[in-house]
Amino acid sequence: MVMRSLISWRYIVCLLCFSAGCAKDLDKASEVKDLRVLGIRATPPEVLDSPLPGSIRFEALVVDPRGNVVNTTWRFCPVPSDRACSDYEENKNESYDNMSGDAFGAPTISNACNATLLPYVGPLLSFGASVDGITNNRNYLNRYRTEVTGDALELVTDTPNGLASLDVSFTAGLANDLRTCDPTAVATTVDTQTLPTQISDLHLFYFLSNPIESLVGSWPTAILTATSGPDSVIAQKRINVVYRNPGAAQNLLGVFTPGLQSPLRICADASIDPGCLVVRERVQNTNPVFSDVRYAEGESANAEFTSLRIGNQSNGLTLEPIRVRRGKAVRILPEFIQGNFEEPSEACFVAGYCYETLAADLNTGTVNIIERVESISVSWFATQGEFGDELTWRKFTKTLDTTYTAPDEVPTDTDGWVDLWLVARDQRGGLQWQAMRVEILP
Amino acid sequence: MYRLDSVIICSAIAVCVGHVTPAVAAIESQGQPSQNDPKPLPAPVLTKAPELLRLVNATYPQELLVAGIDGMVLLYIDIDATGEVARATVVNASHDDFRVPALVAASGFIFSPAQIDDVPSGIRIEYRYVFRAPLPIPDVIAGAPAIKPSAKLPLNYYGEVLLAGMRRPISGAQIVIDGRPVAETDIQGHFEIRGVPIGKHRVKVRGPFHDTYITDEVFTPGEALKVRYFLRQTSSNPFETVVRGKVKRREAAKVTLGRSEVSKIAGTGGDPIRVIENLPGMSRAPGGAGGALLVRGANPTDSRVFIDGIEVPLIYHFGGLTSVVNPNMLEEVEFYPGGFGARYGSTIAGVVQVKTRRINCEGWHGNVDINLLHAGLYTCLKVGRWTFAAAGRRSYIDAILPTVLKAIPREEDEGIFTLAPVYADYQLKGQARYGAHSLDILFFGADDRFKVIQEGSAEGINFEISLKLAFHRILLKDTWRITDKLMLRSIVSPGYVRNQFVGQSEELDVKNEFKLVIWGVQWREELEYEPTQWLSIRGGIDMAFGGANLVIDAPIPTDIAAFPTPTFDFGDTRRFTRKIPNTSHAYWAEATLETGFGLQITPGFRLDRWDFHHTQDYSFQPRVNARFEVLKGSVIKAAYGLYEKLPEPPFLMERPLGNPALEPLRSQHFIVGFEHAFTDVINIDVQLFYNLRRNIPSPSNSVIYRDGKQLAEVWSNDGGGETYGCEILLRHLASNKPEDRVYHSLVDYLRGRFYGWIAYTLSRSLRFDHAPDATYSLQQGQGAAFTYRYNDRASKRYLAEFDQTHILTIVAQLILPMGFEAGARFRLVSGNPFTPLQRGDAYFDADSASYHVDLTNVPRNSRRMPMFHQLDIRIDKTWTFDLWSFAVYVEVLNVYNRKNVEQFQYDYRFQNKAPMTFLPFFPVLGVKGTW
Repeated sequence: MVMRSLISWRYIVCLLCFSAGCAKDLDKASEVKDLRVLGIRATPPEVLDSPLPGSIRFEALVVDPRGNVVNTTWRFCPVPSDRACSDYEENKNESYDNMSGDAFGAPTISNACNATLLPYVGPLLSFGASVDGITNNRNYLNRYRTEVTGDALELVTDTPNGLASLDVSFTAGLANDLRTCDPTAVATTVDTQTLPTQISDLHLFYFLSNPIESLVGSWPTAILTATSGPDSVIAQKRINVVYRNPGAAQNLLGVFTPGLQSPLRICADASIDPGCLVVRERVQNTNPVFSDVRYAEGESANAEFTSLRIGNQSNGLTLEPIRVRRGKAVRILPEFIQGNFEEPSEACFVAGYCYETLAADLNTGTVNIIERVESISVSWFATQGEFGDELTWRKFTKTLDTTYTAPDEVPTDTDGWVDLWLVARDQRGGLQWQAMRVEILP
Repeated sequence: MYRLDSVIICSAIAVCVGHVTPAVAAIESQGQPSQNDPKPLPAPVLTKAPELLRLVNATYPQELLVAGIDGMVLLYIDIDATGEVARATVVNASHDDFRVPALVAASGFIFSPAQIDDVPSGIRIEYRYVFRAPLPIPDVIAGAPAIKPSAKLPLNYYGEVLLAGMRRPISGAQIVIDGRPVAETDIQGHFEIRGVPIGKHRVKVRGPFHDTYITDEVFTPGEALKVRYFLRQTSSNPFETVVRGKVKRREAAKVTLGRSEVSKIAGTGGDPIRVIENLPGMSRAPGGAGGALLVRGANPTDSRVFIDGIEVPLIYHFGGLTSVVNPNMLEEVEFYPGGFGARYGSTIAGVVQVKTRRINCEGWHGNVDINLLHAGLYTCLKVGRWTFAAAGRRSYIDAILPTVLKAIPREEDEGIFTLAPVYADYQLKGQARYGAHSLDILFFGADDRFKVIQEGSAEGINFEISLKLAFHRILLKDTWRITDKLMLRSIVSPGYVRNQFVGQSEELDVKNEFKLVIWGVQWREELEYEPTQWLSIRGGIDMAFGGANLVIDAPIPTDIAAFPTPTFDFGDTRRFTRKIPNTSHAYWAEATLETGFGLQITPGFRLDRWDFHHTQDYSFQPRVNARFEVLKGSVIKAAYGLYEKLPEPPFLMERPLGNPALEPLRSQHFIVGFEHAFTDVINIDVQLFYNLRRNIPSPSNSVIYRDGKQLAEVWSNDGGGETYGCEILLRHLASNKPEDRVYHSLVDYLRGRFYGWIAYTLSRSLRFDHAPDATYSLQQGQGAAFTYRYNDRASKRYLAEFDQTHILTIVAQLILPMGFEAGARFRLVSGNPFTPLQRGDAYFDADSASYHVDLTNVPRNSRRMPMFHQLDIRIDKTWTFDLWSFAVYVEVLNVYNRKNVEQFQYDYRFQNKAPMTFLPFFPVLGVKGTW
């Protein structure tokens, strides 16, 4: 594969830097040695303003092979952020100033106080004992699914004045004793009573803060802080809040002036609004779903793959463990429930695997509609051993499979077991993971 | 009238016949100021050196003669445009009794007129009159019959004496038969002797700077013996090993380096252009191998490089490997770190002016240079009125590297991997003179290619990546000396640049391409007028017409707010094309006024007009330079100048890429300095400088309202910076000592064979993107705007990328016996600043599956890399044969394998970092043949 072929680049790099100081010993992202957040899943990953969602559940895959207890804290950042919400004040202030004439209160960051830390439910959890909701296997690995849902953090529909609106609300509560909650940072709800227009506060907020977001969607983020002993990891996950369905709030989008084509209008039917960009009704995105994970002995790309699936659980597939001799390699191929769509088509759009984006044409200065097909990539993680490709993606590696090479020695502290995780992303916010185990044989 | 503001090296030989003692003259302009110095013209070129036509023998002081004491007198001789000696002055003498005889003799010399820019001109030369006590009369000692040359006797012994290796005539060589000097060679190296007795005789041939050649010749009745003797220089020509610093000039800060002077400096690969990296004002380029022009804390793009007055797009192959001009084609390199005159524009930092060789070629000469990286050829030939020189080089790393790569163990399915970097350059020059016109035609260009090919991988995914950067240019120059006070120089130069990158994989159906073709014509007209001895005026126009075609087939991310992903689709390409017109014209003038009390002042101005794509700008830039000779050999100098240039093209593209409304970058240079000559070979130059830079493009948060549209400003002129510091250059020039003199100490021995310099720069360079409390505004309509303050990080000053507090460079070169020459370069430089990252600054982004750094509270460039130091050495050994010479050289970079940290590489979550070092111990072996 190209990625692996690009291993040859080490020759180039080493030649270019005369091999004197290439940093060869830095950790790889696929090596899980301590506290890590491997993925955060939002269900659903995308919010359409029509229909409005009931609630969104955030879940994170948090692991620490050292067996330490992990504490988590969730926050919700109502604005898109490039810095895990540390830039919130800047973003908020801009918009708040803009909106000051409307006596409108900007939304604020809120903590979710009743996040639940749950044991990770994997395919093979017959080992270890569950203590206080933490599954333990000789205390070598803690794996959690930390979850914020329902009352803790939700986007709920509200219809003041009979109009569609989107609200963020938080309710206090402490579901477990892993941490305490700061009550002053809780339960902030934006005031919708003084809105001068018939839109929700977040709509207005995004529209005034960034016209582009009002058209193509905005990405408020959930922020997770996980701590394990002295280690701490901050992670963020966006949800895609899409406003541009032609059936909703279209009148507001007509004034959008992106600098490329002004004014830019979108519509469902050009005969009604000549000159507008005709967009499809958007089908809400969902997270990818694993249908199977298969494996093949050896490294050969032409080897026959065998299914590992032995059942389903609520959080993924139940997979048969792989057994690999130390130092040897297998190939692992994930499969997904997804229509067989390679090019955009009507059926693909209906099925929800195709979607549209707006893109600028730099030659003409206009904005065009680009039709895209979901394209899943898989990130690979293991507590020991190496992957041929840490990331597989059909457009880059042709297939989604990769090579896993077992460690040269049998890991004694885990009785020879190694944990693997596959984290799949659909390139537009959908995310799913799958765990599996490998037994290293002498 | 003579000129002092150019670098001139030539030599002449004379013989003091009366005492049968060779004398040697070294002729060169020394740049030593004189109160009666006439006003210099800018950048003249010595096209013909003066030759001694009539030698007047000095009277050997009787007492010294009896005592057998040799001696030397160093004279300055001012030669007028007719070749007559206008004035001679004694600089120093080994014995006072030699002074007057040498002065009297020199006053009667007659020379052929020197030609500057092919016009007979006055010149000052340095003449070294050597007194050598005559040998005892052989017949007195040995009783042999004296040989008395007489026109009545038959001619039976004639021939020529040539310089071994170069086949150039040696004038003034002695022919000694049986111990008795009987003849000397003329200007063409010829000699004739009549009436040599029949039989076998011991013949010695000795030249002023050469080994004595001894042979036995047999003379037979009725036959004339025709011979050709080759003498080897006793060392490399000392005149070619002078390290030349600053000659008299108008600018406060300018260093001129001659080709032959610096072709063997260690660490430069024999590349004179690379030597400027060792001068004050130049920051060390990252990577250990040099390359970038980092002048006084500015970016590399802020400096310009000219070849014979025409800008070239690049000066180094692959960004720093070696320069694009064959060293054999170079005459000299001028480096202006700042404060330069109005002649140069569109630069806010430094200027490098490369002058190609003034061809002086009698017969067919040339050389071949082969080392581990490339092979080069230089040759010259005279055809009628025209003299031609050609040079070219090509690397052959592409032939070696694949073999090395194949030898590296690799995984079975990785396939065959080919790496093919190639660089080449060429120069072809012709020159001729027609009346008052001196014509030059120069074709030159360079071609860099880099190709990476992966074939036969197990998965069947192969790829090819290629990079090509080439330029070709023609330069036509006419120097018309209208009168002896008025000269017009016209330069027209059409050129072409092609920059192309292609990355493709058939299996993945991916092809990315970037192609930029730039074409245009540069045209310069320069008028020089010298109405009086104390005033000279220069002015000119500087124009460029052309454009560029840009084609990009690449995965340009044009999605409006694309959702973050862990992947990048190289196959999702967009085609972007542009035709970009580019025209500029400038008008400049300056005048140099020389007062009678040592003050020289040169005010000037430059008016630029740029039309690039959608950008039009004007600029008026006043500049002034002043020099004041407070004492003989001591000069105080000062300069001020305003310098402007357009931002680099990417900043001026249409939104959302750039901002065509950006204003020109602006820099003000303030310089004061002092020069002092301790001796004739040791001098020092100290400069204090302050560069104030403004209008540097910075990312802008503003949204403006124009033509009914809200537009992101993208870039603003809010950025700025300043660099201040002190530069010291302490030089030891080579002196022109004859090889066979008696040395009294090691220091005395080294004095004639050593040259080098110590360059030290103490400086600080600061940058800012926005001034403190700077604001940006979001304009929503005509006049309606909301204003916000940039955050602290965006409006805080920080150390510039290449800020280096201490830069110390020591260069030493030593000419050794037996054709050896050794040199070393040592550099000690402060580490470059960097922004330290640590785990706490990073967060995991679950959508892009990567860690990002929140730089909000991370001070920018707040730490430094470890101190850089490196020693490079070079050793040359030359064997000289009759018809050619052969040299072997070895150059070792980073002798003690210092692992200098150039960068830090972080792991995926910025938790750990590893230092990246580059140039390790790196030897290069080469050979060179010259004929």
